Amino acid sequence: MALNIFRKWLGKGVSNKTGNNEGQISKDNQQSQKDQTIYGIKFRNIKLTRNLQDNITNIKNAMNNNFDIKTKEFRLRGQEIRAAVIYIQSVANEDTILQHIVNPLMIESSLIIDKDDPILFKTIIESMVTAEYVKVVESLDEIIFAIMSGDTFLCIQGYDKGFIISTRKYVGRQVGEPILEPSVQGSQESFTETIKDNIGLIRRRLRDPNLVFNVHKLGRRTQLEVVVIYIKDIANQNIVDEVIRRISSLDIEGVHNAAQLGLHITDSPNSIFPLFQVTERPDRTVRGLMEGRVAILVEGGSRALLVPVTLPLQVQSVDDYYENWIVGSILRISRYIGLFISSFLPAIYIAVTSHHPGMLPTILVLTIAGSRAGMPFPGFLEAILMEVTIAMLQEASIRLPRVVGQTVSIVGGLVVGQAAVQAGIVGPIMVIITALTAIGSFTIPDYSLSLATRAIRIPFMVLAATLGIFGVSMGMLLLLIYIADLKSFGVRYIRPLSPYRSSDLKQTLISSKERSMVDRPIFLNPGDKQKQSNAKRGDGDGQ
Amino acid sequence: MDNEKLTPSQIFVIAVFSILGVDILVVPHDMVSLADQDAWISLLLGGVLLFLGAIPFLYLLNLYPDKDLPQIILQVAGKWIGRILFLPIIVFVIMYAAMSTRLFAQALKLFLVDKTPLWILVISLVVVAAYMVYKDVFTLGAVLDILFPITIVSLLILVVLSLQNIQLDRIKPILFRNTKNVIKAILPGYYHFAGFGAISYFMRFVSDMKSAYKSYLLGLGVPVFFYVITTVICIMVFGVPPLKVIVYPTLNLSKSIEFEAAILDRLESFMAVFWISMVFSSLAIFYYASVRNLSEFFSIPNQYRTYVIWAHILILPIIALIPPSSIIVFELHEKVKYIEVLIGFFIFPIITAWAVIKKKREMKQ
Repeated sequence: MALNIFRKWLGKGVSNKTGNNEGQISKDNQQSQKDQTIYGIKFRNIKLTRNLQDNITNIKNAMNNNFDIKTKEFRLRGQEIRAAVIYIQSVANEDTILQHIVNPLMIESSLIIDKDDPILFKTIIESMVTAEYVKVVESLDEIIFAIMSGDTFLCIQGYDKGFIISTRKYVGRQVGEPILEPSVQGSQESFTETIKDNIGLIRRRLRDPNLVFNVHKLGRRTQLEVVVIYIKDIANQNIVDEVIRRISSLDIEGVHNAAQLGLHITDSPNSIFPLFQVTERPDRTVRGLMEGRVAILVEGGSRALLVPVTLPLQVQSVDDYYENWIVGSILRISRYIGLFISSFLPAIYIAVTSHHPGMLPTILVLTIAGSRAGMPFPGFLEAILMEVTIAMLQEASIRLPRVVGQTVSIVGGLVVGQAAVQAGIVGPIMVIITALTAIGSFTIPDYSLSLATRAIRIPFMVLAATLGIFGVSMGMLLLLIYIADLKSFGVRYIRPLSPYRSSDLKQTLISSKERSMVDRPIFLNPGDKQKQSNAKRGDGDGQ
Repeated sequence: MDNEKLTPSQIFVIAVFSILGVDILVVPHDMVSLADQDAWISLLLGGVLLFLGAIPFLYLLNLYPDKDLPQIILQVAGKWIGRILFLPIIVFVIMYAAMSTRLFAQALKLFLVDKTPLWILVISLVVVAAYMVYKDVFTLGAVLDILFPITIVSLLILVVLSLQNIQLDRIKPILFRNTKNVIKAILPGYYHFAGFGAISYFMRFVSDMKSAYKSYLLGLGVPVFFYVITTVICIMVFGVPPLKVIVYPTLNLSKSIEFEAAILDRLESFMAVFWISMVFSSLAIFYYASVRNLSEFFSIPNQYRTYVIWAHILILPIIALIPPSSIIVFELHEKVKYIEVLIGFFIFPIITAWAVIKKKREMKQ
């Protein structure tokens, strides 16, 4: 009852947000789920017939007679009843089909069943076909979806029902090393494109029966599996419900990647800060699940989506937990400094040199002024020039094949660094500032966050050039208000920096002794609050 | 989550920033002009007066835990008398916000951005505060939470670094043939703690009332501590006669600090930068209070709240920029404080007494 009211209320929320039309669509969706139509109304009226040949032609026509749709016709139980399997060669496992479906039905069937007995569907399912699962179906819609996903359809002359037998076999790559989020001490595995393998990578690290996998089909055309993963007794049920609600209310053509899905279900699509965490690391995903967050996997995407996320969580790296807490804290603080530098350093440099040279020590001012003597451009223009160059270099190094990549770094380093200074286009200190900014942005573990700092850099440079350090501080205040207002699935993006709670801060802002982290951070409202027992272990430090 | 609440720690920070504001720039000058080297004693006694006013005020808030000040006044004193009693508060909040913006903009112009016109400084401060108020109360709480350590650390740095310049005998003799002036200066000392009532606009969003009251009273202690300590240090660094001439003694205090390392040649510009966050916080609180005041006074429904916020972008800079010279600004800043006396010693007690009587009658029925 209460759940129904909640759902109704949520439905209202949706229609209020996106206008009445959308609400109508989501209602239709619910209805269509009852009718089991997957591809809309296209195949709703076509039914299986008792004629085998008709069925084969119907199904093949529905899939436009493509060349890789294979049918194999054979006779059941010796020579009497005709049957056929239909599958798509490129996604189905042909060996399985021949060995576990065709072979038992063609040859072994004559051993089990007498010639005169009718063939029972039950016998086929229970004692003939040896596959992962077998299901009796009659709607063409379901059959086509199964064949499309790599399953095999078995059809027998004289019946208007058939079997779907799982024979999926997708080509994919092996579990590889993490490329975007490398770690020194952490595991060297990253997600692959196959959702089954990815779930295995998570399961292997977390043998908790309360780990729940909630499967959804997403996309009008792609029909890909989206799996919502959470630990039932840790994750906050409101967050889980909200995630599932947002995913199931989506009516889109399809997503191919976790990040793309994230953009569809994010709280504020206009936010330049990523309100979801995209990771390729199974160990980080498991860590997130144990913090009470929800992970989402998409078939075909090699990343997991972790929600909700907050700014301090995005600055964490898995390596923090493998070091002594003092070292870990220093690592983390250095990343915060990197975040600050990559966002504000060029702006502060422009503001101080062009508006308040008095803020610097006299000797430094003289050095800067000396190096800038004879420069054709003002500091602001120099900074923009360097910023654009660095942005292009970074972009180019991603696009170029690995073999050519080295050339780019040499050309970039030499041309931008040495030659530009010698030619007198930019000052040497500006080069240092730009380099520091770039290095700062590389310290941020979250790729989207590091791109976000690039996006806020230029507005800040404009503020610095026009209003000086006052403009920069006004900009910082605006940015702070903006960040404090952002929410990721109902959790403020700024938590746990505010409100203060020392045990949360200890675990997120800095690192803490693994032994003393008894409680889970409460800012995600976890169910099971305690992580580990409170008892002293070993001969510790007498706490 | 939907049922978001302000935590006691956020109430603490709001309490701090509702008092700690631009006044810290001028407190030593104002107080020393009245009570010479014993100014800090008057200030301390003014602080005691602040607590004496705050405790009955909390009692009033406790009677109506889900209402803020305008709603309480209108409910207790009725539609018409309530509005009359409410008027001084509206004027005080707007004037206080406008004058502190102007005062701080002047200080910024003196110490940080000498070429930028005053109106740009005032308008940018007001616009950023408007954006803050446009977001909800909980965002305000979060932002102040983060600005709080910046402000406090910068003040502490100033205090600690000034210790190298102090001369202890400048504060002596204590209370020697000066008792009359000290007592006279208690009330002006109390003016500087104006704004303790601002908490009433936030108390209704609190989850745990009891600990919120505690952190509120604790929060009031912070500005008292910093005002007294900066006054003491200013007296010990500058001496009484120069202090009577220096307009912004606290910023000059940072000017007097010299670093051996010479990393920061001009500390006062850095302090001015850090204090932007302090003045902004106090401005945001009073901006919010003023928006609530006007919405309740003219019974503007909640969906038109944004228009009240936009209106303030116009009202506040106009009031702030009307005074033609800085001398008039200082005078006005002083005069605003007289309204505070009216509010603190007349309106709040009347409302509290009225509310108690009303509640008792309701209890009997």
